[in-house]
Amino acid sequence: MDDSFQPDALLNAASSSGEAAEEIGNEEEDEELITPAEVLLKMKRAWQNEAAAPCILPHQYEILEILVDQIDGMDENLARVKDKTQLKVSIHRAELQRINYLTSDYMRIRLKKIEGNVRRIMTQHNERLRQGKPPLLSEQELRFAEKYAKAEAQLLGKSVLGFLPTPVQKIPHPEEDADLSSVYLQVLEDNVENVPLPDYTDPTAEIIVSLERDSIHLIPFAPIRDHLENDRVRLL
Amino acid sequence: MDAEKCEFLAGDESIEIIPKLNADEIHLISADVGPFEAGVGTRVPLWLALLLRKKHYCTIVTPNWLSPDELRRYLVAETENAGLTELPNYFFEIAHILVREAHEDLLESDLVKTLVQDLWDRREAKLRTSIVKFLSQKNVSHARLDYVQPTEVVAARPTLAACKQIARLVANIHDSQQSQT
Repeated sequence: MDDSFQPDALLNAASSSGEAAEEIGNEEEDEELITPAEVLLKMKRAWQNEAAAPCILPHQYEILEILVDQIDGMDENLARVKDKTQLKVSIHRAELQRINYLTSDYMRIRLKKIEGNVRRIMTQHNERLRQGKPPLLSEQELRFAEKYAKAEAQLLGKSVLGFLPTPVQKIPHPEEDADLSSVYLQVLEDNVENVPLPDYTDPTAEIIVSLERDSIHLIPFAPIRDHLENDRVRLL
Repeated sequence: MDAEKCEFLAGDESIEIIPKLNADEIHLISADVGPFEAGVGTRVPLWLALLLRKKHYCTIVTPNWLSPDELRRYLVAETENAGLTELPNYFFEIAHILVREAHEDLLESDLVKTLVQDLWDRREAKLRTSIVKFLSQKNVSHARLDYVQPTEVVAARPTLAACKQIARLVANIHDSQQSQT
């Protein structure tokens, strides 16, 4: 057996990420220590929500960064092992691959959404910042969005818009209609506030729907947006 | 979401295996597994069970709910119940993975396959009739579907596009009514 790769080496990795988690916890005013397993769970939920949501959700890069640190730490530990054929090594590798998939797919989905409607998303991001809400995009994503918007403008200008008369030289700016979308959701907590839904028969009326714990609903997206951002419900 | 992502998530559900080797406890990021002792059953995440099985280090124990008897009971309940009945988490995903990757370990895997298929058909028929009913009216924008399984949600996803169209039409109607008055 190779002594350099024992559980305590891994315990170190786990505890160092525990510290990282704690730092984040402090930033978010509760000082509870988050275990790596909990971080992973949060990431899974964020990924699921992002994949199911009709629009881009506020970013969860704190969680992502902790996990990426964790992956790097584990990678280093694994690289130090001399006997690569150990069962333990392949198990850890397999787990890393799963987590890697989770984090990269999360980023991939978000970048795709940004590419889909880059200008609208940047306006929304700035609006949220003005209102003091948590930011929609991370710094890296914002940089990407700006670059993408610029490239898109240049391409459109060269290929199409340059040949059109000035009054119609506009870059398409599709309306975001996530407000009209519906979603499947599951309620995660007890005592989630009732949600007012638009009454289709009367534009001025509302229908109140109660959300019991664990129940699953097909429901318009707009009224439950706040619940989603506060982790009271999850999308399916 | 798509079916593959559902299966990925189902990979984290725990399942019982009988290891064929001895090994110490392993500290994974998601949880600690082991220690493994040959011949003594233990629970691990499904993805790990599949990995070990591929290397011939374990056999997978068929979950209780995937036995023909239990499945028949679910089928009866599904027939008697007008709504959907409650199933274990990730029922269809796990059944599908096990039948595909580990059918030698399953008891009566062909029978299990047919029963699961029957169950799926019955539930799908219910879901489809209720979705058609839901989409052919324009008064309600909300439906409750307790006990629906993740794969079924994926299968019912196209409904969302239809809901959006309906919402848009209704919004247009309201707009035109308001401009008339």
